[in-house]
Amino acid sequence: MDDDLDALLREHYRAAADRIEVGPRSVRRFQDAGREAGGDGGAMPLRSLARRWAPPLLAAAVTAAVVVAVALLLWPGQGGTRSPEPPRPLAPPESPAASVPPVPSAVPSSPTPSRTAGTPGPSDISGTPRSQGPTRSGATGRPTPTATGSSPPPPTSSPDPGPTQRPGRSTPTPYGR
Amino acid sequence: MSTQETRGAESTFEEFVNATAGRLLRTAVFLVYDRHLAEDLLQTAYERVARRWRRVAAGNPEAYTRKVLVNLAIDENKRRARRRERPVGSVADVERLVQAAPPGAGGGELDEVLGALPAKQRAVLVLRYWCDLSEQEIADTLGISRGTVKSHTSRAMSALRERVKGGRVHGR
Repeated sequence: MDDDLDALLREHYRAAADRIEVGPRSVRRFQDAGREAGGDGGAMPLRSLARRWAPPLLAAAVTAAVVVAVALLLWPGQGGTRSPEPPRPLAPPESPAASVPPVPSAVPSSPTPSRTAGTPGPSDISGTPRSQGPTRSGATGRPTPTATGSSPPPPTSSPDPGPTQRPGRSTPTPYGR
Repeated sequence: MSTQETRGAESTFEEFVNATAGRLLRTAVFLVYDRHLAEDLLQTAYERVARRWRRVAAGNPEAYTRKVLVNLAIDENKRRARRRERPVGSVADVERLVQAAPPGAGGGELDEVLGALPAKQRAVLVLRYWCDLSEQEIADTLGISRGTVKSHTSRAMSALRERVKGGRVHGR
């Protein structure tokens, strides 16, 4: 059965092939098509090469340009969005030492600092008088503002623990009198 | 490349086309059952071969061209099968399809059966009974395994056998 089919198919194709003619015009058309496509030895013509690779190259170039532009815009410290200058103090910048005439060191040698020299320390706010140091004026009994630089560290604004916690000190409290 | 080399390559390619156009055009007609489409596919195949002519010419250019042609034909048959699934728009479309159906083979009943086969099964039969290729050569041409070639052949032959049993196939 298969042999019959094989023979039938072979005979069919052979008979059909006899009726298919290939004219010289068709052959010429094939030759011309091959020559135009690069039948000069296999080298792809420049035009078809450019046509083939132009779209992907263009797309890659555009993508690269966009990426570079975005990177330049968003990169910190670069491009158009340069980060603003660090905030400067409102006070005028400190002049160099050479341009400022030296302040005469007319610091009084008195142990009592000038009252106008500084603002009252936090001890004044809390109302706790100083218990030590030579700045205390015994006549007035008023707390003396501390002199910066020569005073012990200021106490915190927390309430004074009182004389019970500091037995060795005779600090008068404003409430105790 | 010198001009002489170019001319030599051109004449070689032209000789190749002269020698193979008849065989390959018949193969194309048997594959797609449409003379004009067959010429277009063969032209495309020759163009692709021409682009790689130096490399192809060193081996077996006709086998390579046939391989390109068969794969183009299979793709085209699949495309046409997909198009046929859509509703036909007009009477002119039907007439065009009817005119395209018979190839230069006379329009026998066997042509109808062969034309109705799936593209790969038809290609296997053409390569085997028209090109006289072995199973391995068919497998290489189609890029499939020998087992797949056997199964395609078996299915195509059983479809033909059914028609023969029914007495509906008479040669051509």
